[in-house]
Amino acid sequence: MTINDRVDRSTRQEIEQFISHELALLDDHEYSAWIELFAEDGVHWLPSNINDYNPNEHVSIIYDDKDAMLRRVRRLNLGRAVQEVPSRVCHQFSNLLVLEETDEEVMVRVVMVVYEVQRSRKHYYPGHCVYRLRRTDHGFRITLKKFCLIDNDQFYEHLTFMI
Amino acid sequence: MRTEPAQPSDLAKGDRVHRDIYLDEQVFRDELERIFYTTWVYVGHESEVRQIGDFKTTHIGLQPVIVSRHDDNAIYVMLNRCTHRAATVCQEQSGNTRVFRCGYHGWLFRRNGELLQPTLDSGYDKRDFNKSDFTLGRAPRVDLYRGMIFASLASEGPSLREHLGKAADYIDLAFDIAPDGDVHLSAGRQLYTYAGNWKLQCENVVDGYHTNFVHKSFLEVTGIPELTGLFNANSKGRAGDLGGGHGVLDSRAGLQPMYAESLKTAQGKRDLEALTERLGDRERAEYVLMSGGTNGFNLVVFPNVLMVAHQIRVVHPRTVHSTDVEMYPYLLGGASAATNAARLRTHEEFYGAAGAGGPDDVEMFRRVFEGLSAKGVPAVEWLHFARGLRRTVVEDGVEFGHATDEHPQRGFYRQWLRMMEAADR
Repeated sequence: MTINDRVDRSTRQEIEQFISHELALLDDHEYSAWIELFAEDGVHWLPSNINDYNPNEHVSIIYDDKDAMLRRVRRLNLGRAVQEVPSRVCHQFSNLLVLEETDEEVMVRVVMVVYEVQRSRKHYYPGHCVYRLRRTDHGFRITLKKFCLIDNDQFYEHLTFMI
Repeated sequence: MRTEPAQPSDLAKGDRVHRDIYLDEQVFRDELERIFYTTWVYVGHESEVRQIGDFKTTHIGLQPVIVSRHDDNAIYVMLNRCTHRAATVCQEQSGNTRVFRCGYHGWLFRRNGELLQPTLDSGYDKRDFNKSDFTLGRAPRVDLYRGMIFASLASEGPSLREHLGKAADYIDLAFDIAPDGDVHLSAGRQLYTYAGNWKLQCENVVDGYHTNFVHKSFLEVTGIPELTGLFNANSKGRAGDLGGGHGVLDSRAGLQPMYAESLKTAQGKRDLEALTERLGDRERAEYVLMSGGTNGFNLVVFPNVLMVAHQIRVVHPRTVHSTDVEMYPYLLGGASAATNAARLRTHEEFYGAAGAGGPDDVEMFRRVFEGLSAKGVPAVEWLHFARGLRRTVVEDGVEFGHATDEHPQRGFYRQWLRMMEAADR
């Protein structure tokens, strides 16, 4: 991993503000606005078993393009079975590292923890999250959000909320 | 209230099973001995141990095993238990190795389980120590069908082919759709776990009755009319008892219009030509493509391997009320990268922890487990599998009912009872 330590303070603040906003939309179940933050070619990825592989050859927990994100959201909004009682979630991030920066794009890595509560059941999901953010006239758009849970080779009960 | 220990025939009554079948510790121990440690149990696929030295670990019932390809290219299924003081000798889920080394006292075993050398061997005298007595325990019978590796911990019994019976026809259909006839379990493994008995998952996978209820949100969002029609009253699909405890939920009749359309495309014609050439039989090739691999049906191979959609799934009993499940989505040998990628995306959409369907099934197992605590009045002693008792069609020796009928579950419990009642060995 290489680190770009010459990123100026305003860029860092801009990135932090963007990610905080993105996560607030998830916490508030504002899914339509959340999807809007993705570029048309954006991908939401939760790797399975290991963190680095070709997603066309190895299974993932989630590998959603924008269409798949929309289907996931429509399904969640129907609120059936596991999500009859919707999960309440809280996303927290820190340890922001800017990995790459060009005029068009930045790539960052953060430590992320998602807290989820459903009925009396409480779970937390820690991991490392990589964002690839494209600069556009409307601000950043996500081309990749890759959330590597540290236990992604283990058993999960379910991850049916918007992680 | 019963005071005597329950007999298997008190628990499985053909059209219903008693709640104790999911709750009773003694029933669970008997299932391990009489079913899991007796019959053929799936332990892996040849593609997972392709090279000499490749191994994987799994369980037969509660017993830890290693599946290992030895220097002679033969596959050994060995108990993962040091013959010295019982520690497991292999900790990894899979890999490639020259030897298995016990971490406790350093004993080394070859890839076929033979003891190479006890460490500090001057402590052992030849007069009372014979190396060959310390080979890792081996499953007495190992056999393969279409690359699927099965092991039996009983030295005698029906052959694997006899055990699989008509389930083999469906395994053929699932794998024949691969352009080169082979599948690869190289895409990783996904796990889930639930608080509930192992049989709940086996019943569920060939249950066409639940789909339109539990998976309603998935069906609504996908909006494919062929899918929603598969499990309604007018469905042409059927559920079958294949004998030997194996069962099928066969949806092909409802999907075939879709497959027929895709056969008319340029790609479909190319697929048919290629498959005809490989199988040497155009009619069979067309039949295979019109079956859509395991997209067209769900299969349970008694007792605990399931074939659904694009995956092989293995159900591991842990305790009477806890179960681990492994899913292995597999890739088709010889298929294009795009085809295999699409298989993975389809799998992820429905299965896995974040899938649209799998977690909802697990939620139902949780509810069943909670509900099973209700007892004491006749209405809550039994779980019922009487659907379609009087609408059976027999075809080629297989009893089929409507897609939502419970023929597969009745067949599963018929074999369960047969094995649980077998004379003590």
